[in-house]
Amino acid sequence: MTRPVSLITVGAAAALLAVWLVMGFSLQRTGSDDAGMTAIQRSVPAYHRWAGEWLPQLSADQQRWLFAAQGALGGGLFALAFVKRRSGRS
Amino acid sequence: MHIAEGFLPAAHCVGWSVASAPFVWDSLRQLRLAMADHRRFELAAATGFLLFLTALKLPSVAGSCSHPTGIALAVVLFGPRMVPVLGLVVLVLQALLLAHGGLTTLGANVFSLAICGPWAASFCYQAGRRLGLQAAAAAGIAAALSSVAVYGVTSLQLALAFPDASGGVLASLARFGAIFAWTQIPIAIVEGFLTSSALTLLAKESPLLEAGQAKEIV
Repeated sequence: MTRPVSLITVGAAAALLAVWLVMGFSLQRTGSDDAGMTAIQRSVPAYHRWAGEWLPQLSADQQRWLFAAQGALGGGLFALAFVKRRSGRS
Repeated sequence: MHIAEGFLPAAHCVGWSVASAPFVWDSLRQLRLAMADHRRFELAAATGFLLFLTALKLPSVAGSCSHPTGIALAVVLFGPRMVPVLGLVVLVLQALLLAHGGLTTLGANVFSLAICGPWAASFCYQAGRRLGLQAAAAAGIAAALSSVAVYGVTSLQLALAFPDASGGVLASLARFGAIFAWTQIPIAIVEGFLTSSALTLLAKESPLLEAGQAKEIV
């Protein structure tokens, strides 16, 4: 892979993360789950969820941080695979 | 979007779980083969990519938010039969810890995200390669289209559970599809670009991809 492609890739990933951190944390957007529930209730007005969450409800902030933790876990695993690979080769 | 806890009637939850079970079982066998084949690097990278992308709840132009699916990279590296177990791990993690998706809807979500999505990605990737596209470009297009396919299947699952009183399943499918499409299509484009970039990065490190065997993997 050429150096410009590497830079574009890293830059795009960083920009995406920045957009997510700024917009995802600052704006209260309606999620697809809410939109889905609204549509369900339009089809079947009397329907209500027959099973709730198994664990106590977390606040929106707590959920955001948990998603961030999952993202960090995934990004870390991806990066670790590369580091291990490179150290194994050298 | 994963279908949330309690959204689907109990009979549908059981039905989708039964439909998904053989694919997950087969996927476990594929996982053992990959481990025996010393492909831990690709496996870790694909799993990390899946975890990373499904955690990114992105605001979309539709005023809603959703997340990419992240499955296409695993499909290009291992084929669609490997993905169900990876998807299951992510979905269980999110259902238990993040209140995203749910245990009752796990079967339905595995079916859409980890079974239908990967097969759609595989089909698109192979078609792209046959049309002469480079592996990274084909993977990017496959990622974008499979992301839309996942949400199409999710819409179908909801439409089957909640048919419109007057228009039936088709009217309901159109309604759910319209809701999710506006959110998902911009995100699918971003996902395509990211998958293409990730595969380009991996190609540098993986001898299998360096040898130009990506098209034979699927």
